Amino acid sequence: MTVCIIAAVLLGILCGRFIISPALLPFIQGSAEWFLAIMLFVVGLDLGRTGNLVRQIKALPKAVLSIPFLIAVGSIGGALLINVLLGLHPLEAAAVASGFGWYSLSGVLIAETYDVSLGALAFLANVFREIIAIVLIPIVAARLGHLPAVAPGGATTMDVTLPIISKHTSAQVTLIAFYSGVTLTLLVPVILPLILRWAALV
Amino acid sequence: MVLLFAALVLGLCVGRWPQFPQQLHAWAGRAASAALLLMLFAMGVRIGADPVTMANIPDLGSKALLLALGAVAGSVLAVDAGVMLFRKLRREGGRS
Repeated sequence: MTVCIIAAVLLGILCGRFIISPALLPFIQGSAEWFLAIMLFVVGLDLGRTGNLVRQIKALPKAVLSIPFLIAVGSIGGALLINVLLGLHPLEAAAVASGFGWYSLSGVLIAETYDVSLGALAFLANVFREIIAIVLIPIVAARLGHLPAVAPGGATTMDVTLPIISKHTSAQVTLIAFYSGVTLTLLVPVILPLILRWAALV
Repeated sequence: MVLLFAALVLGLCVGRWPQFPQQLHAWAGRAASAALLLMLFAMGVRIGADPVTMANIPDLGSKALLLALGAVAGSVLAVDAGVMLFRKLRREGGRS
């Protein structure tokens, strides 16, 4: 699937550069929003079916439930600190970081509703986040402990990086990672448009 | 934006319906994969058609890597600090 994803983006770039007429761009922009809606509908469908997991998550210690929110604050805070070197507008850096690794949604959402360049940056940054997470999860689990190993994956801990967390931590931490990934996945379509709306005003 | 949030909430409601057919769920998964690829293709078209973005791709790559590293480091430190705080509070709670 990763190869297909990269191929789809590269094919799109080539078509946009050499084949597709600029007159068609508004139609393409409009259709991208419908594709996004289909994808989010199916994400919701998957989450809605996990009824038994919801009961297990409710039984977790209350303090653990704050982990996805710590990840959200830490991700945005870390990107804002690094942004001192980069010089982007702080709200733009926050928008890129608030994809939490969900590169398809964050890249397209920013490109379609705010700015194409920032959308490309968000796509790349969140692809890199997923790759860094895959490499870093075993190291963080061994050096800092099991719970911090949930953090690098961000929203991807509900799918792509969950098997790696499962392999390097415990069953309970895997459940926490799934809960954290789901919560961050639900937060992206809420936080990101808010940051973009704020950024458009300043 | 309302459309996107409505799609997510509608999916959650339909997913909770116990009689939702298994076959339709498999079909929805395939539709989501196709939608994902078409959506990324559409994003690629918009990037390719934008000369400024195309000229800045190498610069975007290094910025993206640094932002990703910052976000990962920040999230790990936040959770690590949170875990230490929970443990401290639990120890203090246990003592009193």
